[in-house]
Amino acid sequence: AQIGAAHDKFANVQGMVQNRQACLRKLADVQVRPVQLVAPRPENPPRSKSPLFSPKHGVDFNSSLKFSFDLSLPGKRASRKGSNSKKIEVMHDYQENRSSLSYGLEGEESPDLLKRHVMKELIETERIYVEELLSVLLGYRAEMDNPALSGLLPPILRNKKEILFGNMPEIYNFHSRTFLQDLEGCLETPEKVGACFLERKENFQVYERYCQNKPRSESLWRQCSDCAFFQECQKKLEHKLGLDSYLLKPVQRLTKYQLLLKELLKYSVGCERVSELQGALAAMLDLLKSVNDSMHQIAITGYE
Amino acid sequence: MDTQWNFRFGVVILGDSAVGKSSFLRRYIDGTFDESNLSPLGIDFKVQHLNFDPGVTIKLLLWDTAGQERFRSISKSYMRNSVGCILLFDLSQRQTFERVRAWHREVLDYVHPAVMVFTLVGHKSDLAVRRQVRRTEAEALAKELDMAAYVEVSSKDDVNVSLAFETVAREIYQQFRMGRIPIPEGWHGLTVGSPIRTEDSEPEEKSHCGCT
Repeated sequence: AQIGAAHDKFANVQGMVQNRQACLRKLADVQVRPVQLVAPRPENPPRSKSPLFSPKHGVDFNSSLKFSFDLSLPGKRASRKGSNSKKIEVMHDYQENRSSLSYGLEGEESPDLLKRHVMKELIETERIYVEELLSVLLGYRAEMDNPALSGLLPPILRNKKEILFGNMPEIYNFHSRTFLQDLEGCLETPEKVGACFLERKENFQVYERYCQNKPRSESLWRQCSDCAFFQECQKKLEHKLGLDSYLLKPVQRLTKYQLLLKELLKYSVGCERVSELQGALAAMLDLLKSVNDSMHQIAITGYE
Repeated sequence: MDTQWNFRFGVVILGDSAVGKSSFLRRYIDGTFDESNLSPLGIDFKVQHLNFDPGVTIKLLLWDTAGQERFRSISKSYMRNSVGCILLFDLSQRQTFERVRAWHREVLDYVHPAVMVFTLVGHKSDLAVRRQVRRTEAEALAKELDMAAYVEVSSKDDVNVSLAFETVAREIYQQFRMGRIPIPEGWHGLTVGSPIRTEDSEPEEKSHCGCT
């Protein structure tokens, strides 16, 4: 009898899975097209809590899921003696797992969703970048004036902040006070990010100066990388990597924006702001090229 | 706190655009793979600890160069501080394999007279049906260019990812112990840390390597 019951249960679950698959497939079919047709302005009902999934998806998944559960699991629910709220929780978990799984399997998301995803990564990494710059400025640069540590500071480093860190404070100010907010304002409208880059084109020139100073900074670093002062600062910051790695961050970051813009462009075919994105990409590539050229020039002519 | 280490190796990951440098590093460090390739920003640099012989901890400093392919003066900052290079090509894109020789030449010219230990990686081995490069020819090239090894890797299916990193690290370690890697003043590709202890007492918080 137990085996029989188990069999029944198994059949039940199988039926449920099939139902669910059918539902999801239907959903996937229905979703891709309408989103593309309606494209430019996705509605924004207040229920847009989860930044990863557009409201539309969330609602659809919820309702369809409830539907399939109601259909196929009456027995199971009765036997679970759970309260209503508990049931909803369980379903919620299930829904999240399933939806992420189905994304993985199908690999076809709407362009809007993809753009949001890229935008989210840009903003998150921008925040981390700003934090890291600040940690370097406070944990190393400011510490060079700390009387408690002055004994550890090798003479060669005295009054050399400008050389070692270049204009990193300027870069930090630009990103923390301006650009991060600009980007955050684009979370819901990724296609507007092109305009952000174009608008701040002049501000990005700070990188040119930073990179031009880089060889001088590196050669100074090489002369005192082992000193107790830096070791002390690194220890306090709990950084796994030394200052030299962090001094490369701005260069590293600058090379990433163009990758992101290319990615956004991929999903923006036919969007009205596509020319802005292209303009932004061209501007970032131009900047990289001139930074690259000046680093090349310096490598040939001096400082090293 | 920083884990105690005996050696630190800088390793730079190079290769043409879109061969999967960031995915490769991400899989190794985070153990994740983004199916839809939605993370163009990747990770810039990461630290990983490896244990070889008992009591020997190696700190790997890994540099991702995605986005810098066309800006060589920029990526040279990374080459300069590396002793190892993992050179990637895409098994399903023949032209990325054809460029391996040029990458290799350029890196060697740049770091000279310092030493660079190479490992060649044929990436995206999961795309078997679209393969455009035979294993034998890639192996032959790796041998001709005196690289440590050729490894076929899939970051998507997590095949041989750790092996590739461990191979290059092991080769660096062995070459160093044989006295083939000098350490010039001001070069940080390879740094000797705390002396090797004979007994291995404290377990590593992030030991990664199962090889002996």
